[in-house]
Amino acid sequence: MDNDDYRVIKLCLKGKTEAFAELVEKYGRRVYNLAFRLTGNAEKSKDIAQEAFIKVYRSLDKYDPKYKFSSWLLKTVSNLCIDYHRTKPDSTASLEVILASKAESTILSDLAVRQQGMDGGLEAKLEAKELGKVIREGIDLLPIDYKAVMVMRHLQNFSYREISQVLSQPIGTIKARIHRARKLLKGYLESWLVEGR
Amino acid sequence: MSCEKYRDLFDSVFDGEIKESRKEKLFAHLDACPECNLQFKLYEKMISGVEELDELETPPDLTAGVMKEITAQPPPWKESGPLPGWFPGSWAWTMTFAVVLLVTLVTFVEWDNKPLVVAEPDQVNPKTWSPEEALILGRDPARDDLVAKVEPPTASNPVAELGILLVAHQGEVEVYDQGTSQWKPVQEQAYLSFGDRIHTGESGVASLEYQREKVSLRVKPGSFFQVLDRQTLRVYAGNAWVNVKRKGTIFRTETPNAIASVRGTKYSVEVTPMADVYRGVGLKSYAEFVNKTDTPVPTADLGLYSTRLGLNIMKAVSGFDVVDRLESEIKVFESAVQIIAKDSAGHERASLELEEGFGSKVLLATIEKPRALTENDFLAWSSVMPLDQDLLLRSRTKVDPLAGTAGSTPKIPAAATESSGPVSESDHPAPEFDDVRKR
Repeated sequence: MDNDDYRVIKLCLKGKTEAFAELVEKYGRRVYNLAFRLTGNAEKSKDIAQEAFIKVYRSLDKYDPKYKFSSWLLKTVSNLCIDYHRTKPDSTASLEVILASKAESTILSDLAVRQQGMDGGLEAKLEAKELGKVIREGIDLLPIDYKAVMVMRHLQNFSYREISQVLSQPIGTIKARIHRARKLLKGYLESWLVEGR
Repeated sequence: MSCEKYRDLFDSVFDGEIKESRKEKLFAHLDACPECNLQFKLYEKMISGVEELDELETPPDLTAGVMKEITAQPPPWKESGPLPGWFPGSWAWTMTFAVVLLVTLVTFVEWDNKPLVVAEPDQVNPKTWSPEEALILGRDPARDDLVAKVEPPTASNPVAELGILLVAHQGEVEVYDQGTSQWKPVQEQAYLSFGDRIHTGESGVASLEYQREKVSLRVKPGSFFQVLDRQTLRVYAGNAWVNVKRKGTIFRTETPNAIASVRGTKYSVEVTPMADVYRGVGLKSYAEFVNKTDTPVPTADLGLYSTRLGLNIMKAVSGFDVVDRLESEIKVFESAVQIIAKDSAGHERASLELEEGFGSKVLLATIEKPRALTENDFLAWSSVMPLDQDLLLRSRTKVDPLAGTAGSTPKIPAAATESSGPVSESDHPAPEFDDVRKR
C-alpha cells in the first residue's frame, strides 16, 4: 500500500507525534471536502475533519500496513458526518418528497420535447450556467446515504469497490444506491428543465 | 426495445459496463428519438455537473488544530504498552477481505478529478482474459496449494485412466504443457492430468467430461480453468455450465471468492470482476461457499456461507417455495453473499444479502409478500447458525468494523441498508421485524 503513509505512522508510534502533520497536510483537503459535501456546512466540516484526524490518530496503533490509511480515514469522516446528520433537526424536505409532489417529471420532459422540439430551448437550457447551481441544490437535497455514494463516485472518483470498503457495504448495495441517487437527481434536474421550478 | 428499456441502460454507459454492441444500439436509438436523446443529455450533464462541483480550500488552521489536540495529551496506546497482535477485532476481519480486494485492484485510487471516461467494455468486464491477465487479477495459477495434496498420476493410474476428457469444439482451446511450460492448442480432444490448466480464447468453446464421475462441463469463451482432482475444478476466469449427472456425486468449483460443493445438480458458474456468480443452485443440492482469503482467519467457519440457510430464510419469509419454483442466483463477493430468487419468467422475487456468512448477519432482505414468521422458523435457523431475531431484516445494526479502532460506534444509518436496489425501489425504510409480521 502506501509506504509513505506507513512510514509516517511508524514515526508517530515511536513517539514522533509531529510527523502526523504530514498526513493531515496530505489528506486534509480530501477529508474536508468530503465532509463539506456531506454536511453542506463549511464550519461543521472543519470540526469534522479535525475530529476525524484526531480519532484516527488516537487509534493509530491499530493500523495495519496492509490496508489503506486513506480508506480508514475517510470512513471515519463519513461516520462523523452521518452522526452529525442524525443530530440535526430535519429541516429540509428530502428530494424524494419534493419529487413526489411534482408530476412524473420524465413524462413532463418527454411531453415538452414533443411540443417544443429539441430546438425549443430545452437543449439550450441544459447549457445554462444555472445548471451547476441546480445540481448543487439537488445534491444537497439527497438523503445522506445517497449523497455519500454520489460524492465518492463522481466527485472523488472512487471505484465501487473502494466505496464499498469505505462504507463497509457490499458492492451490490452501493451500486443500487448510486442508481437510485442518480435517478433522484435526474428527476430534480428534469423538473427544473421543464418547469423552471 | 422500448424507450424505457433504453433509458435503463444509461447507468451502465456511465459505469462503463455496457457491451459495445448494446451501446451502438443505444446510440442509434438516441439519434432517432429526441425524447430519449434529451434524457441522455440530461444524465450526461448531471454526472459531469457533479464531477465539476467546486472543491473548497482546506482551512489554513486545520493542521495546527489537529496537532494542538494530539500533542495536548499522550495517545491512549502509549499507556497500554506494546500492542496486542493484529487480529482479534472485526476490523481485522473485514480487512482480510479487503486484502483480496486490494490485490485484484490493479490501480487503486486516483484522487485527481478526471473527466468522465467511459471505459471500453473489455476493461470492465473482460470476456477474454489471457493467462497473463488472470495473473494480474490475482489469480495465480502457480499457487497450486491444493494440487500438492492431490495424488499424482502413477504407473497404475496413468493419465488416460483418469478419464477427464477435454474436447475442443471451436476456436482456440489450449492446455498448458507442464513439461515445456508452454500453451499448446488442443486439436480435437485430449485427456487431462491433475493440475492441467485450460484456456479458451475469444471464440473458444470446449467441453470437459469426467467420464467416471459422470460430470460434464461446457466451457465458454474466455475461460481459464485448472483441473485439480476428480472432483474439483478451479475457475480463474470465465464461465462454465456444469452438469453433475449422477445423484450423490459431489463436484466442487473453486472460484476466486468461493468454493462451491454441489451434489448431483446442474448449475453455471461465472467469474466476473465483481463477484463469482452461481446460477441454478437450489435447495435440492448441497452448496456451500467458503470465502477464500490469503490471510489465515481466526475462526475457520467465519468464512462459510451457507446457502441453505440463506434460501431457508428466504423461503420462510417470502412464502415462496424456493426449491421447486424459483431459480436461485448466488453471487459471492469478497465480503458478502447475495442470493436472488427468480421466477420462471426471470423476474426477481426475493433477494437476500448476507455479510461475512456464517454467524453473521442478514444485511438486506427484499421479499415480495412476506408472510409472518413463526417460532419454528427461528428454531430451524438457529440449528444452522445462531440467529438473533433482531438481526433478521434489521441489517441496519451492522457492526462498524472501525468501531474498535477509530473509536466510533456503529454509524451505518437507518436508511443505509434499506433496500434501494433495482429489485425493490421502495423508498420506505426497511421494515422493523414486527412490521414484517404484520404486513
